[in-house]
Amino acid sequence: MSDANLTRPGRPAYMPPPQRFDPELEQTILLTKAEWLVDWGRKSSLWPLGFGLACCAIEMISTAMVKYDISRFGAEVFRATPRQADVMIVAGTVTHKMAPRVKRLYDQMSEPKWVIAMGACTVGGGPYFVHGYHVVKGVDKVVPVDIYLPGCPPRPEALLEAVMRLQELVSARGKLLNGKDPGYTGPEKGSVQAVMDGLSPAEPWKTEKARSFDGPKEIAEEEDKKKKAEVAAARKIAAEEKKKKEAEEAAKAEAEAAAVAPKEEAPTAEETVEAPKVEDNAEEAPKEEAKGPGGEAEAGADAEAEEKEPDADAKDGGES
Amino acid sequence: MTTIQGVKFEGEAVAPTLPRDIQTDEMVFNMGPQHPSTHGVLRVVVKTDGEVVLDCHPLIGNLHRCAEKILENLTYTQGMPYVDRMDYLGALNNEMGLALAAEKIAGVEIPKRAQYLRVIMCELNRVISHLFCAGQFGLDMGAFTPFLYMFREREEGISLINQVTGGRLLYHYIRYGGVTRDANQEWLDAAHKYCDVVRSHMDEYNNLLTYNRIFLNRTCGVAMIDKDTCLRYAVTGPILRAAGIQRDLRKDMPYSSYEDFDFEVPVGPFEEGVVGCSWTRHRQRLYEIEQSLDIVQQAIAKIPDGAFAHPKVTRAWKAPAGEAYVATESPRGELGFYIISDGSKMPYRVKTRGPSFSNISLLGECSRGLLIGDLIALIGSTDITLGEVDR
Amino acid sequence: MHAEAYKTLQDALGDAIEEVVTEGTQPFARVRADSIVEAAKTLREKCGADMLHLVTGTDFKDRFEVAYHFAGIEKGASDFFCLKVTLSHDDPVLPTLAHDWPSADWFERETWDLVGIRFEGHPHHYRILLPEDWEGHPLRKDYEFPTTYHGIDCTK
Repeated sequence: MSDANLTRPGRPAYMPPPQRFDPELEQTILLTKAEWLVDWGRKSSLWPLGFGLACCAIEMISTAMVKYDISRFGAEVFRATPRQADVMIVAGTVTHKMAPRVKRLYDQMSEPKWVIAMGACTVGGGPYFVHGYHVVKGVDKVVPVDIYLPGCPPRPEALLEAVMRLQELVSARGKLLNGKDPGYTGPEKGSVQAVMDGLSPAEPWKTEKARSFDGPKEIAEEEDKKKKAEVAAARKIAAEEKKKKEAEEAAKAEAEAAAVAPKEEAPTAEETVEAPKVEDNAEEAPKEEAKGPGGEAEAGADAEAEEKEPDADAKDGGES
Repeated sequence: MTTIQGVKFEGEAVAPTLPRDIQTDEMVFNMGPQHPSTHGVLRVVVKTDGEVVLDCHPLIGNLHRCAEKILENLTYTQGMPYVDRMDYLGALNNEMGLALAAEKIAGVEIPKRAQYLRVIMCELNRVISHLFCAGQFGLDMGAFTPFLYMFREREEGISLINQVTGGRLLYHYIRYGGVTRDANQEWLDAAHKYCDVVRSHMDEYNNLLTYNRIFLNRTCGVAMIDKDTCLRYAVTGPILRAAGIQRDLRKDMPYSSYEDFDFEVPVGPFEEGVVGCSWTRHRQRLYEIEQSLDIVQQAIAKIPDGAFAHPKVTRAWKAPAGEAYVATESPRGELGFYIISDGSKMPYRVKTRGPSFSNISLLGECSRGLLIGDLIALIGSTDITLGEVDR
Repeated sequence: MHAEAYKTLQDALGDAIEEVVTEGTQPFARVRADSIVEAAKTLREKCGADMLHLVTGTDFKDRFEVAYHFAGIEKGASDFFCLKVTLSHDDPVLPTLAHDWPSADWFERETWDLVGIRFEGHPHHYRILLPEDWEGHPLRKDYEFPTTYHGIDCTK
């Protein structure tokens, strides 16, 4: 049981790591955080308010019926009274005449409570935005919304997706969007723009607010690590290119020197291979003159370059 | 003939019989707008004395979505989707009404195949609408299971319409001058088969719900709406036919080639119940399903080849100056569209006669003397769609 | 059918019928505002109209027009009868039909609510669709959309 990952693969599981105990004990005792257990219970038995406003209500009913069967997600208990419900699916157009009633129904629901804005009308006025004098341009002007579900009307599959996303939000304790404090009164919080900006409750770790939350922090750290690794790799490539240039320039300088005194220089190059550390000091003087900019390179890069240079010198000497 | 609270009923009505020795008091309470039995956002203020309804006052407008203003401000083609959202259970019938009214002003002759496709789609829409409403009425009366069975066939019908129109609930299928997409022979065969399937399930529905003893006791002779009340309150559709008047616009004022089909208009009373009671209205709808299935199958058998839209009616089409009032038979009653055009690209005025608007207006008169539970039967059997009441 | 019915009206009411149009897609008889109750009564008694199907108010900027559509259900009339009334734009008032035709009750309330035409003697003369404290009549052509309503922003 403790291994059962109730969130999707790839999403951070808000649950404690499994602990090993005496096998007999493990079969009889379930160990978990109490708050995780509460959240799991809440999200697995959402009780929606049976609250149909308009066309979307028919699709909401379709979702509850045989073909789509919302009870697979534990949300089939449509309550007629707001006192027993914890999810309000606002299915249909909210008008100015209806808005106070919607607010009142929301206030009558007991905490914790969530709102799904189903359909284009409740998301932002929908087709009635421009000439609909009596239509509230989005139910988030009246009650805070957790899940925005567009469509006119949304298909039942879309409502199921909304329920699944709400379950993810519930398992994250509902802290991530809109505050959700019990004393909420004003209509300002939550807007269509929040969704447009990527403040989607399904991927809360993308937002700045999520940084304060325990689970997604690890992901943020991983991202930081990745960035650091990328920067390091880029620096390495730049350094290697510099070394190549230095090597070429050094080779040219060597070739010029060899043209002046070919027979004397060649044996010294062979000696550096056999006993590099002794001869290095003697060799560095002509090198530094030839390099110029190469002197500014990092110490490590110089060490690598020095290991390669003798070979190049030997080849040059052989050819000449 | 029975008289309850000054209203005369044909046939036998069930008068509330309560023991008189119980002390009761008058009380006023609200039903709705959030109530599972009001089919949407209808609010009914009920004045009761104990269990008996003394008076009741329906308050509407909670879903007023300004459709008439919007239709004035959009072009003809742009306005079409908004009528879908009036009666969202019978969306195609609404499109048909608006299209016919504008076409009547312009005098556009629609290709025969398009007329047949309109008929097929509208009747399929009527079938799934009535399935929903019959199931919903059962739900109001406390029978949950039949709703599930009816929804099984409803979903099949939805997916069938979906294959041609692309929509599940609101279709935007009928356009001025025809329809948007043609249906191929394969689909027509599937639709023919679907009609057989639904017809084979009618006995199942009847055994589960219609002739269920509890349901019969609950609805027979309950919540009477008589002929005279229907006429006075402009009530139309299945309610009017269940009250014993043979009135069906598909027969009386045929439109879109309905005169080509041979069908009977069922008129109450039926096997049980009396003229104008809740059970008769429910049975009326189930008979109309069978009748619609017949029409669909006849239309599929007779459908001619040819264009599915008028070639000269384009997206920017507009009606010439003039006006016309066209009423069609929607699942809920006579749906009227009165268009006044001044020749510009937008209609000057579009007035909708939503049948539910008139059908619910009788609630105040017919509910007097009913028990509170029977008030639910009255609302459930009048089968209103609030989108159409408020528009 | 129309011609006959409107002829009957003209015979019965005389000057009160200002105009009769029998051609086109919408034949109608134009009635003087104060005679509309009588005209409807004549239609019911002599022409078989037994259902008031629809009441429409229209704002024509310089005048208002109210159109009444009647249906003959029991007679099986093959089309709707149409009566029209023209009203001045300054003070659109006409007598109500709600006492004789109960269906006119809601139709006329809706017309008052959305178009702003008053019906004298109406038993429930108040708004039906919009809230009671709503300002203006939306289907008038010069209607200005509200910017806020009870603290809710209506513009965005």
